Amino acid sequence: MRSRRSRFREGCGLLAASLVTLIPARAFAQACCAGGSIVTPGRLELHEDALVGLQAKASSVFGSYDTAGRYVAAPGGDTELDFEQDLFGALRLLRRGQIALLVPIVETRRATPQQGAQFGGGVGDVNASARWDFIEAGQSRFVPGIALLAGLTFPTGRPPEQASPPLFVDSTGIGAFQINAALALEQTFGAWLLNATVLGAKRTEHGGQTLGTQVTLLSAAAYTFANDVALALSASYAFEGDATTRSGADVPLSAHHVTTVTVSGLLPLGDTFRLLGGLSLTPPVDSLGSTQPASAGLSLTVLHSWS
Amino acid sequence: MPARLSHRLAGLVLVVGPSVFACRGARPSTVPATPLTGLDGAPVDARRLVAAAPLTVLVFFSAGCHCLTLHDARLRALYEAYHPRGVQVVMVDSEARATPEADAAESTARGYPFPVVIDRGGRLADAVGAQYATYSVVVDSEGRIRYRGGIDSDKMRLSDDATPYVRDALDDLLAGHAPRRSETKSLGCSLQKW
Repeated sequence: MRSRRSRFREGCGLLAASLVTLIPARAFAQACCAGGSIVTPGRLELHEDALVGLQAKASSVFGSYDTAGRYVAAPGGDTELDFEQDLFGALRLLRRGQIALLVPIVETRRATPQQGAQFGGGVGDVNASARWDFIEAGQSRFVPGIALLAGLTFPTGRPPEQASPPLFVDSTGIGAFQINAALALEQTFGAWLLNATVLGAKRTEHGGQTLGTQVTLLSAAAYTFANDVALALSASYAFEGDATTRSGADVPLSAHHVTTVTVSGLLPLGDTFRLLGGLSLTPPVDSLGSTQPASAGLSLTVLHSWS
Repeated sequence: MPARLSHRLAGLVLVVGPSVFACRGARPSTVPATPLTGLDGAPVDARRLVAAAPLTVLVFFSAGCHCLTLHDARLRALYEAYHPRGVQVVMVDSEARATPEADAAESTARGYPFPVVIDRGGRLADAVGAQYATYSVVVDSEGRIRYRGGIDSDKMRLSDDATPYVRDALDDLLAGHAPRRSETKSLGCSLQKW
């Protein structure tokens, strides 16, 4: 466990160093276009008509939060590595409207001293979404960019009850449809871009239960340099209420919440390709989560766009 | 409480409503008489401005837009090549924060050989459909818009094989033809007009 986490830190340091060395000395007062993309990689930037991208994510679970919100380190010998590869695309329909599709492939490796190690995965829950930008960030000094998003996640993954015991590593979905809606506010201040997003998700019944409503609050600050290299710091807080049974009764201790902090960087490769990297962490601090694993992760995304 | 809520909703509709339908309006084919201000504070009428030359290139400006800054050398070269042939180039600052002092300093620092005018309230930008810096329109002396769109096909990384949209339009018009492209896409930053 120690050697794996050490390698993870080395990878983080390498990515950060490679981004910093590419940063020019002079920053312009107003970023051209990259700020929004670093906050939400699958989104079309100004002037882009379409994009396709591939995101690879890897994370390691190093502990968990109990039902009272106390952080507990993972027991010795228990390990979990999660991997995900997302293929996504976005298409502009009108100047202010865009639609997107994301197909995830999910893999998990879990190991315990009692059960040994298991590895499994498959296609996850496919998501389709749409975004409408009523006002673009930077158009007004006083009114931020305002966008509404709506999405539908399809139960294309394998739900937990169909996964293989004892470690259920081939569970790749929640088994229910999920309807998402979000409001995103975004404003530029010189080279800075600030983003605040609130996202709500409702799930349909599955297996006699309906998962609780999920609300995610995301805030992010991004700085774009003159050559469109961008760095961002974001924090999200996701809260999910108690699941309910078919009779309407709450499922005890099923509510949970988790806080995630992410540092990300964007490196343009010409005007049509860009590379994004991110380091995310669930801080191992009491009360920043409950009934959730705590993990550290790394993501790498490559995008090709058409204008 | 319901009245307050309805007022807030009405405010939201007023703010975001126009944006929903913003793309539906037909863009005018001529430059309207619009009051502009020279960097010396003198009033300039857009229609009179374009009447002063057979062809005028209006380029929309944003001081902080790096996409535009990267095109400064190409704009200076455009001026050097076409001004002797009767083409005038005018930079238009339609941003809400525009001041004569700041624009004069920018013009000097960038070595612009052409004038900069301020478009208070973004009225000219709205009239010709300029949403982004680098958006350019080529206008004849009668105010007719003959070309609108980008300076060229490049955005942030300038390439030798970029398609020179404005130059192509000027070449065609100076040769007595209609421009091979009357409209292209501008790839600059959002203009902060309000």
